[in-house]
Amino acid sequence: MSGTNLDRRGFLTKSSVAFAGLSIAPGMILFDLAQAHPLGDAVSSKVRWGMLIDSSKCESGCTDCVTACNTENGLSGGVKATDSQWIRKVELKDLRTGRTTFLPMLCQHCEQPPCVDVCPTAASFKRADGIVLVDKHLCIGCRYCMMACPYKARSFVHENLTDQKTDVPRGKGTVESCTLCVHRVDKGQNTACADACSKAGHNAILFGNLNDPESEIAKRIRAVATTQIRADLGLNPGIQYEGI
Amino acid sequence: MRKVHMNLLKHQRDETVHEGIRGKKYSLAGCVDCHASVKDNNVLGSNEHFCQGCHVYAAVKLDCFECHSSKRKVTAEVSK
Repeated sequence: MSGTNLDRRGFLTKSSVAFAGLSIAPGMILFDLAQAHPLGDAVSSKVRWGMLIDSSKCESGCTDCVTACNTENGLSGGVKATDSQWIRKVELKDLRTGRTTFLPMLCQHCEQPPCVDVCPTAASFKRADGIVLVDKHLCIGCRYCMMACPYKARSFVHENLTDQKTDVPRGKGTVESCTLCVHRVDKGQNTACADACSKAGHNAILFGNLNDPESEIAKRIRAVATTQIRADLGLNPGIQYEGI
Repeated sequence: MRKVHMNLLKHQRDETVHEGIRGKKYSLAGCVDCHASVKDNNVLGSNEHFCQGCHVYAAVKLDCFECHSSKRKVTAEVSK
């Protein structure tokens, strides 16, 4: 028996060496593919995408982030109650001092999202990297999530749509909201609103990985006082603000 | 392919939406990229268009493109 086992062990050792030798070449090919397509892997919870929005840099009258979002995602740009709005520019006025500040308001990509809690079909979900999305294949359009969201971030598509963007499928009868430009983020790009804000020279929106202590956003959050809107709800939003 | 194309798409659909796995072999955008008409870069429009033609013949409702784009993403320069 022991002889058989030794043989077996010897076989395993040899075969594993052989396998390792074989796997080097395919491994290298796989690495090359991984460089060319960084999209092949599942997202992991080692990353938590978030934003830091500096409202003191958010200029009065500029709506570049809203326009960029509409263009990127194929939204109409209308502001009727029945139009989809994924990001809104909000004016805040302190009645005591008269100080006015502006900030973009969007899905806050909560760590504990109420929209996910209430969804009866599990269409509303949080990706491992913290992005809260609607799987429209599962959404039945009940709109519970819209009622549950304390930020009024979600919209319902009331009408048939045409000419959707290839990367951003949208359709009648489903709920939608800011996807944190998931199709761009998966390609390693910034969100459209953050890009538009820096292009306009304001740099009010800083997008990045909250979990990486070396990322610009994590350093900034360590250095300055930041606010989560409705922090009392304990949802730990990924979108954070400073200067409000 | 006629029988199982919807399964091929659905197989990776949930992985892409929920886990962010992109760039795999099958995708709806990939189907459209090849099968769209060279005339108007669309898979819908008339019974000569790739998806619509077969679905009309088979009397099967085609609802992918109520949400997804039925057009080729990068308008190919038709060299004709």
